[in-house]
Amino acid sequence: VTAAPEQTDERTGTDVLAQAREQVLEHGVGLSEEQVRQVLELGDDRLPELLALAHEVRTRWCGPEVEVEGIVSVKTGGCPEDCHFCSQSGRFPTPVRSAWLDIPGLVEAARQTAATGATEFCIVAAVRGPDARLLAQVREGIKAIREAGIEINIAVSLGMLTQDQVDELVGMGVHRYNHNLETARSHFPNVVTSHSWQERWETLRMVRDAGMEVCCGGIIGMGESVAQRAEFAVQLAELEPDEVPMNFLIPNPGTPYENFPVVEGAEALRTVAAFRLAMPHTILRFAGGRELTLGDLGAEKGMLGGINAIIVGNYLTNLGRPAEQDLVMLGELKMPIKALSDTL
Amino acid sequence: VTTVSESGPVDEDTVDEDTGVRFCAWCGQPDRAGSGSEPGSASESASDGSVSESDGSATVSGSGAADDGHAKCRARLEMVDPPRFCTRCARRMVVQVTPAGWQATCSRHGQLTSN
Repeated sequence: VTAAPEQTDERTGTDVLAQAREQVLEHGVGLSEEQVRQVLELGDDRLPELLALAHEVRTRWCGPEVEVEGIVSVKTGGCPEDCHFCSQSGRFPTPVRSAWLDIPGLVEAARQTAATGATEFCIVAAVRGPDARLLAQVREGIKAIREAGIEINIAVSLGMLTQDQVDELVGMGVHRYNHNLETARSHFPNVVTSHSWQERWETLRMVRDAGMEVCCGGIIGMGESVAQRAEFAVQLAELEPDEVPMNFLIPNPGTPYENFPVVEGAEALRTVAAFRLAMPHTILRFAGGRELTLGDLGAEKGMLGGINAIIVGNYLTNLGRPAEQDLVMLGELKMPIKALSDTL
Repeated sequence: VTTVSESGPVDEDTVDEDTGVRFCAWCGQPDRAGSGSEPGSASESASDGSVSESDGSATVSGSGAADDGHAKCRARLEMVDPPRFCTRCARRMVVQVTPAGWQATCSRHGQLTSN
């Protein structure tokens, strides 16, 4: 356990958690970048207090429910982009080979997800942006899922979009669009060089303007500084996303980040709580990497430290805990699963 | 723990008939220990401390290619990765992960699925 000096505001002399209690818990106003940085620099001795406050904020402004989601990759590998964390980039010598999920496979994945009680099913493709073939596959997949009578909201994640593509997705009835900014704007050029942070932001703006819900998060542990984590939290808050998925780096073989260390558990929990205090109203979702970073006990602590949504089952190329294990955890924590009717 | 079933033209014996060599399903390197760095095999503690688990948390990073016992590989297969290499011929497999499982296909030795 490490202890750090209490983080106090130099102007007011008040402790940052005391400020957060007043500002975030009582008034629903997210922390500033400087305040988030102070939270991220709190010592391990103050972690229980921080997590408790983040949980209070979450229940106060989001309620007790947990949103459950499943995801599947419809087009795996062979991506032309160079996102340094990604095993699906065609530019790195990773063991991931290209794969294409057919319509029956997509329907079965949606069925598996709905069977867990999930309200969201996200169809994901490893692409810079969708071409006509991919959009046709997504359109046919959504149609088949509907015709199969599977009741679940459908989200998609297809990279950067044009306005026409945004409109087409709205026409398909897509509920939410995922496009992660991944990291702080100042750190992004170290992570991706084949496109810019601003290009991603433009897609998100079009998605929001078209009326789809915005899902935008990133990955912790890609060499960013604590200050850049605070920067990222506030940049996400400015976007006002409906959902923020929080991933922790899985150092995948063959990628430039294959030898990066796994984020330490306490650091991950502190980051979750800090993001909650920056975004008191958003859906904050546990996503990839929590199994390596936090294990079972850490996942429970995260659920009691600001998280109010999870991806259950497997991810795109990595495996997660069995969905049943997470559902049992939620039951033991007495956290109700958000019903589909509550999302409409 | 994920268990593996085999379908298609794969014999029950996973050792290559020609060479007797088995390969790690995670890193594709020869698995000299032969104890099976296969998907779903029980993870073991690494003697060099490169894999550690305590209090429900785990630490695994980097490539396992240089790890004699493939302990890191086994830990990855246990926790977050489907098999990527055929244990009989070390070919990269085409892997489709789904919410409740995975399918891995070797162009020569057929398909593995979780169940």
